[in-house]
Amino acid sequence: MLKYLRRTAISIEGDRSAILELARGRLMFLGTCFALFFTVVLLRVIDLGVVQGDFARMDPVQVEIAALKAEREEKNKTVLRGNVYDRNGILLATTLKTASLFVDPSLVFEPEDLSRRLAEIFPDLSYAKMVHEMRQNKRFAWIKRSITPDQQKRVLDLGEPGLGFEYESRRVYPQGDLFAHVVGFTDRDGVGLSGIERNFESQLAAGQDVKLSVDTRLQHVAKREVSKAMADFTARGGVGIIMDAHTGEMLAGVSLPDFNLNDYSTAIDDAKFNRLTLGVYEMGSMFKIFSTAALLENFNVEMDHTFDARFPIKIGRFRISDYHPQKRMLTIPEVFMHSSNIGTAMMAQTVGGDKLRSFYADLGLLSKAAFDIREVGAPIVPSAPWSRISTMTVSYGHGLSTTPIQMAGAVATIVNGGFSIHPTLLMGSGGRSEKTSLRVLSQETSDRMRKLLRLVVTKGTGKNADVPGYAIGGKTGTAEKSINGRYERKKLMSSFVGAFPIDNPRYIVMVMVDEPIGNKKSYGYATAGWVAAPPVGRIVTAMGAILGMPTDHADPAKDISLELLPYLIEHKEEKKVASN
Amino acid sequence: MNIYIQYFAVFLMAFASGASLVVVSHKVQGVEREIARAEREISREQEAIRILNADWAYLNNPAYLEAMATRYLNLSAPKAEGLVSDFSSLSGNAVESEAVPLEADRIAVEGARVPTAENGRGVVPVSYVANAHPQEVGGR
Repeated sequence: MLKYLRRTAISIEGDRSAILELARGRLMFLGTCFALFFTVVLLRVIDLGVVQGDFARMDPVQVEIAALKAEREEKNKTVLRGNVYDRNGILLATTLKTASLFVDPSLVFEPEDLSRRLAEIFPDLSYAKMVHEMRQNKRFAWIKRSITPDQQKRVLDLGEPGLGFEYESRRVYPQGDLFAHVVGFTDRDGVGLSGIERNFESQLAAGQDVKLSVDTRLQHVAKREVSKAMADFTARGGVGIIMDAHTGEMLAGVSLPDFNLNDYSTAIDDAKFNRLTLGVYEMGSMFKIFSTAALLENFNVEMDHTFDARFPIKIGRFRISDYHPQKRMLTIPEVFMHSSNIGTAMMAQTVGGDKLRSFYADLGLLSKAAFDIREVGAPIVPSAPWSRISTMTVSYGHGLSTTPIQMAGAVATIVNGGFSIHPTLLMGSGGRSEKTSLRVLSQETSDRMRKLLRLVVTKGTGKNADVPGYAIGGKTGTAEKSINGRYERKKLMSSFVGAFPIDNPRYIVMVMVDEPIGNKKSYGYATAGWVAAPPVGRIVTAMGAILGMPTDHADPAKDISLELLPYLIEHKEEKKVASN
Repeated sequence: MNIYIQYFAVFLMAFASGASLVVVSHKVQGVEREIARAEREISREQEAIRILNADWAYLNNPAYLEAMATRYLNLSAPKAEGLVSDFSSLSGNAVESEAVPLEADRIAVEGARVPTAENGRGVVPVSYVANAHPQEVGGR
């Protein structure tokens, strides 16, 4: 009976409880789901707040991930233009954020008063113009762009709501006019227009810095001495080069007149012209270095080989004569030290036009140089094959024009043992290695040339370049400028190229002065010995002190040029006279 | 009983998760503000560094330094004869200058105050001794 009742009770309950059970089951299910959901959320929150919070900061993996994310974000921002440095890390060009002042005329109620106060802060602005701008019916007008922080502060002190600042990037050149032609300038949008700024535009725009091989201190010295020479001799232009003889790195490259990179709009055209690399000039007697080297390299001649320099050479309608005629037979060292055109022309004839031309080409004098800036001039060369007269004039540097930088590079090749170098403005891209560099002349010829160059300074036309302590060897060159097809006797290009220390040359120093006029101290002479040799000597003195180069106050009796004395006829004459 | 406990548990979890969410969110906002402020300061400092670097380079301009050196230090460019790297190359004719000892009690300049070992950080006036170069005495 009870059993039946329970069964019925259950069954009755069962009927309803089945539905109830179902409902209850569903509720249970839902409840569990929610509970699970909230548990997950709770756990996640704990995870974020506690686990990934303070603990994660110490976890190296997490830190690295965060750093990478930050880096990626940095790159997506607009990149600041790269800086330009010299070889010692001195800043030559950088970009700074400057404020530019604008006015909102609709917020200005007293234009006259405001303009007056602004005119006090910016004396170069016109009061009337500002008042006019403020009366316009627009919402925006520039007052002045790129103001200094000092001016910005004064404007803020005005407390004028109608004024505002826009921040712009501006290219700043801390060295002013010192590297005008090397570094170059940029336009308002920060795009390079000349020099390194132009040629390395893509690199700089991507934010990469450029390190140059130039040395600010040496650049200053070169500029100072070339300026002095120009001032002393009232010249119209000048060039100064200091180059590493082994790597071709330019330590100084000066072209005068120059201009201030921060203010290039006021520069005159002559100042913007890059005489270093773009100008092509007839180098005159400096080319005798190469003709003499060509002879020594291609023929097995002794130094006492003589040339008849008694009479000028007449060929066709041309006449080749010497500036200081010796009127006698000259040995090779004598031809070089007295800078005889006749002797050199004969040397060139011996070598022949073809061999001379290919020698010059190997020295990099004939073709347009590939350089680190785009402003490069193409040499003016007589067309091949060279005629007899061309060969002769080219030997003493006339009838062929090349750039000063190619000239310096060729002299470096002559004195560094004979290895061809590439002039460069960049740090560390040089580096001559015995295997990779092309050998243009033999070590023996290079050694003999060094002695000849030293002779020019000890006994020849370059005496004014001599500096005690640093043995300089070099060559003078006084070239008459060719204007409209005629050579002007009074318009000269006086130059001197020197290498020091001549026993093992490390640097080439070259100075060129454009159209010097003789002064009282030079007895009216404007030749290279008076004009260009002294600046080279002064530059070398300063370089020695700045770079800390060891001096060599060596016994003059050990000077390498003395090895050539036996080959000088005049020396033998002197000895004969002395012994009598 | 069970059901009430269950309800309570669920309610508790919901409340806890909501509360912790709010707290964490608040903390995050605060941290984000801090980050933004720090980043603004960093970029301001970086710009200041750039300006200072440019200023430093400008002050290191050789022409400017040369003008300053000539005007205030009375220095001029060195002459080649004066540059020597190897003392053995100098002749032995140099005049022996009187070596001035550097101990404070030997050197004396009138009115100079030189701290001595005895009085520690004190200063003691000393009397003048001939031939001592006044500027060589210590006393920084």
